[in-house]
Amino acid sequence: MFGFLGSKEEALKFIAFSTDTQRLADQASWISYGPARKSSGALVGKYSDGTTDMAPHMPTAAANLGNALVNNFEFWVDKDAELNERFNAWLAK
Amino acid sequence: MLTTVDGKPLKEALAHAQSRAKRRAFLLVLPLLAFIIVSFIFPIGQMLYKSVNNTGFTISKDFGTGVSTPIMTNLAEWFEENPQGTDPDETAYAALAADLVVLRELKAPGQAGTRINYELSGSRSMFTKAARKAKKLEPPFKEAIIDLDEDWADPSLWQAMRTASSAVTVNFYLAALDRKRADDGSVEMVPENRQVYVTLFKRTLILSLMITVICFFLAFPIAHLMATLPMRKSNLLMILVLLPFWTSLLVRTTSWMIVLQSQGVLNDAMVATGILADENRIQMMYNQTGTVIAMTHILLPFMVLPLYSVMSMINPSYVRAARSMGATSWTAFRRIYFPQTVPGIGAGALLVFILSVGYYITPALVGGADGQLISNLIAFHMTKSLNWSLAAALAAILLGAVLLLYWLYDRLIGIDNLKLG
Repeated sequence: MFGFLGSKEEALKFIAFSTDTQRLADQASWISYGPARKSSGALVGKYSDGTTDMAPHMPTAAANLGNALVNNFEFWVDKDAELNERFNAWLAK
Repeated sequence: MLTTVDGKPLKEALAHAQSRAKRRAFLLVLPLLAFIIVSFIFPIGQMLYKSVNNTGFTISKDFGTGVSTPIMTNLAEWFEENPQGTDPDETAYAALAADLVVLRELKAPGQAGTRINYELSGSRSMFTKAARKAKKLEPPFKEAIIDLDEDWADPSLWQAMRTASSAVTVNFYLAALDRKRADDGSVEMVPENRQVYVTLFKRTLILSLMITVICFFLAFPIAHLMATLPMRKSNLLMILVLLPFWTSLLVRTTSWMIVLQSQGVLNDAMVATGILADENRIQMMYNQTGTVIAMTHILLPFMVLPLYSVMSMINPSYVRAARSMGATSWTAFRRIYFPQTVPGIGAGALLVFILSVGYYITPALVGGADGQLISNLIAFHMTKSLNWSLAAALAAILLGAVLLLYWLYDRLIGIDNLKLG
């Protein structure tokens, strides 16, 4: 589709294409990875075998998001050193 | 006056000839000297320097261009003008705001925050957050900054910034001894759930001492046999000592894991022969026992070889003479034989002890939770937490302890009495 030595413009076009709502939703027909765009959620269709409905299997489905854990990077940036030290101290007892 | 054939004074001619020989000798050792300086003295010096000097809060280096720029200069100035204990006023917060703007421009809030985070856990994100908004801050700065995060008014934070505002610090040594600075600048212990380094230093010394003593008791009879048996048998013994010595350290450590683990060869054999019930398997690996066993085995040749070389030089007729004059075999051993082996014992013990104090791979593999030594935490700070100053301080303390023991040894036994071969 794109020449091997494409221009920057074409590269940007490719990125725009491959991350648009429909393409991210299409990904679900191969694997149950949640689409990175919220708007893709409604477009998720069937698995590539044509029978399984993928929407309820998505980690981003509303029912599955209820018990999702959020990794708080800020907490770990701040507390990583201290918690590791406390863990080592506990381990050394 | 004595002169040579061509009329020069003999003394001058001799000095001239000798100086040439000296220069040649120096040139011969020059490669080794250069190697030691580059690979040993320089890195150790750098390590010692890093342990008392951390520029995280004073200098930002752009690694792309190699340009170093001082940071937090306004705050450092304020700290200089206002002694310890002054409450941060509006000028202090204004200085902080100005420095945060600079940090943002240099993309350095992370490094400054990391440096403060070493002293006060939880403060790194305050720096990144505040620097992001630094340009939009309006006077009065005190209210504006405390509005961002009320922790900015915390006296501990200001104490941490005060100590970090000069690159030279002993705080990493305090941290390496489970101590820290209180808000008023005095030294206090860290909370009990964070105290780990003193425990590990003690454990390292005790385990190393234990390994040295066990090695001595195991190596002494072997070395004695090797020195006294006829050539053919002693050669076989020598090979049995050297073969493990030539085997890779990792192979030896992992074979101990196979033998000693709870589902391992030894436990299986004991269960199969009915000595042990299946649910009572002995935990011999992944704890201190495993560390001591594996390290004793690995370091044993370092005790056997110096002992052997000293014992093989001992003239057997001394003991025979003692026996013929009526000494019991125990007395002959204690008064005649043993004192002659002391140089070998000293060399072996010193070798084993110093090697085991800095041992890393074996305790890391078989130490489990309570068999870790201080070197494992040094490696942790080198590779995981990236607190290199703390790692350097820990390593420097270890180095100091070893040098102190070396000095003690020299005082008590004398380093001239050391014999490696």
